[in-house]
Amino acid sequence: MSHISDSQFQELLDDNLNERQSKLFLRHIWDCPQCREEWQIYRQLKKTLMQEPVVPLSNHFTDDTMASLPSRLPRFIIQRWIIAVSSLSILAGIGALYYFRDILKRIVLTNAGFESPLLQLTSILSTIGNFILRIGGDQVVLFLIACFALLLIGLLDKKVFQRRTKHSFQVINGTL
Amino acid sequence: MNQPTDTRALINQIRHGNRDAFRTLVEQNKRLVSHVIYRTAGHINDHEDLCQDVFIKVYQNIHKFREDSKLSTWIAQIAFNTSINYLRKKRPSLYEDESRILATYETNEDLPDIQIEKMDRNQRIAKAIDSLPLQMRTVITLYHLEEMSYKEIGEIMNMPEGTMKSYLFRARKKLKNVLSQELELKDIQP
Repeated sequence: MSHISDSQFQELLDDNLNERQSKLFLRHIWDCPQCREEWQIYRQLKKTLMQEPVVPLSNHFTDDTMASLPSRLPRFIIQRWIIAVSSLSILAGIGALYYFRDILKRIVLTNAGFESPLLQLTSILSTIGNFILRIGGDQVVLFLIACFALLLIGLLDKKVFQRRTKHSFQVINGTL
Repeated sequence: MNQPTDTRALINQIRHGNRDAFRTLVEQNKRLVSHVIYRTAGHINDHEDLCQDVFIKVYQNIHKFREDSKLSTWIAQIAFNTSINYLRKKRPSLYEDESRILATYETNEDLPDIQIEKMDRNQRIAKAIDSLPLQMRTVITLYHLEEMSYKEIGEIMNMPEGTMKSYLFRARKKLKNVLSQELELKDIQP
């Protein structure tokens, strides 16, 4: 067997080799004075590297750090999934208004005499729905919806999905 | 990444404004932060201030921690970035030197030799570590002192695992040569 290379020594040092390879190398190290010397140096090096360096941190470091913290955490934490769900709700709302625009129009016309803010809002939304249709047609609306859907998928934290899915599987399998 | 239950509880308590929980977090991670700052920024007067900055950032951004990595990895990542930004702002010349040293290492393994004759072994190793490029000495510290994996170190330094392994191997080879020189010196001394 030829001499052990630096990278092989280091793999051995990190316990990255399988049992057979380790035995083979260790046997060679035992037989070869040159490799034995190299191996001892690597082991010494590892021992030295695992010793803690002198890193000065005062005894009152934690107290000082606590004293320098802002008085309170940011109050409004907008998480991505909240943005995504809100966007989805708005999109579903606009979609519903657009889909039922004729019914809404009828409601507005029937209640034309009433000046309630809700009816005014309904009227405005209904007009927006019709306006979108007139400008671009159905395809544009569908395209916009597809874009929004892609945006939502991107916004949604995949980890939320993964965690929920994993949790569901655990519940289903009875492991939770 | 599944956090240990106590770590998750700690994070939740901090998110709900429990400052004692944050004190525990500081106690648990100050050694790690100090090591990362020490190895990246070197011997600086602002060492403790920089460590404090790291924990303030951790406190202000704890709600952004997405638990897809270990908490300690995330904290070390903040420490590493804080240190890099410090070097860029306060000591741009040193930061440029770091880039130059690393670039030189890419082509030459035997740089730079240091004055080692009058030091004991640990001092020589420490001096040799200081002479390594920033990335290499950070990898050495995180791997051996904090016992982190290549993956975790890669996350902290935003580099591939393979690069981390390559840095570690080349750094240790260099340090081994320093130790070898020491032994040779001993051999020739009467």
